[in-house]
Amino acid sequence: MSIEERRAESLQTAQCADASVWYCYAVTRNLPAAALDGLRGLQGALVEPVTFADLTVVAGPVPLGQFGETALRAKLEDLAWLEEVARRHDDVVGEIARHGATLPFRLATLYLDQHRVRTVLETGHARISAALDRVDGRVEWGVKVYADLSKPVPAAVASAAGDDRPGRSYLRKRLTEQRSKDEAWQSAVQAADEVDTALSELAEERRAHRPQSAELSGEAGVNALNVAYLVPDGQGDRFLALAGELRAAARGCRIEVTGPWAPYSFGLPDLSAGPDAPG
Amino acid sequence: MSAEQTAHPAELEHRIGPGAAEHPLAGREVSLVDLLDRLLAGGVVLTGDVTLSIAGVDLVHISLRALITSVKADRPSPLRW
Repeated sequence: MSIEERRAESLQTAQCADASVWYCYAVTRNLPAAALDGLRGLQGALVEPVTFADLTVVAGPVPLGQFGETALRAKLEDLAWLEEVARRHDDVVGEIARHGATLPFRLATLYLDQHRVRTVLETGHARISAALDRVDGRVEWGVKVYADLSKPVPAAVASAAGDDRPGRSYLRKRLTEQRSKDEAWQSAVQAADEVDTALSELAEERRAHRPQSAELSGEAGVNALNVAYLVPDGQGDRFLALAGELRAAARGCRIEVTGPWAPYSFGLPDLSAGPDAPG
Repeated sequence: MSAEQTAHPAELEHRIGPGAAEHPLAGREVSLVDLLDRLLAGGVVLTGDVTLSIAGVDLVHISLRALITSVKADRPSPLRW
């Protein structure tokens, strides 16, 4: 039976049962035997190593009832559920990353059984190994730059006050406010660009994430830059010192640093698109 | 360091191992929105057996739509704590 047939059959028969599927947290190599002792992932289930050669996927069972395709679509709309999954996933990744180069999986990467996970390791061995080499001895730092658009430029406000016709004065005030905001935004974008260029010098790779909406982050200001940098361990102190200097010198914008992260932003591109793709 | 920085050395140690708390800029709790940036748009992408038959970008879209809806419905800004 082909993988597709088996997959279809298993998914069909398991939809209503409390069958388990394997949720993959991260892939690493040469994992010490005791590293996963007592480590629990989603649903409080103990995680297990699934090993092929030197590579190990850390995975744990989750109920198909919650993680099947249909259920997953609905569940992703549930903030509390999404947060629980994200934080558990991150906790497990953090534990594994203590032991060496680790690549986290994207949220909700699921396989029917451990044999399938092993097959994926076998077929993707070369590419996964290369990706682990790339992040070995490096960590990810996140940097965000926020533009502060709330402060009006004093000169602009003063010029608007000189007109005695109320309607016109109001329009002019609005116009100068808008201009002032545009200028503040341009200046923040430029500052963000300079920050990015300076920090990139100390990083081996960078990856831009989408700017975050203030509504989601609860942060003040407008997010002009949201970048992840892959920084060698030996450069970490210099990177943070430089980020600190840039932050202290920043005008009209605010710089925030997060991390160190496991190299989430420097994982593999879609393996299924590659020549050694499984099934 | 500014007052808005809150150190959580125990959590950091748990997350990334000893030594991290020495970094003055590293003392912030992981915010959900930063984590989701990474978990939904980063990470190793393998085609699992149970796959959302939509692109990763759409997965992000769906989730963020969910977040915005939740934020509006429940509380003003729940994503920092």
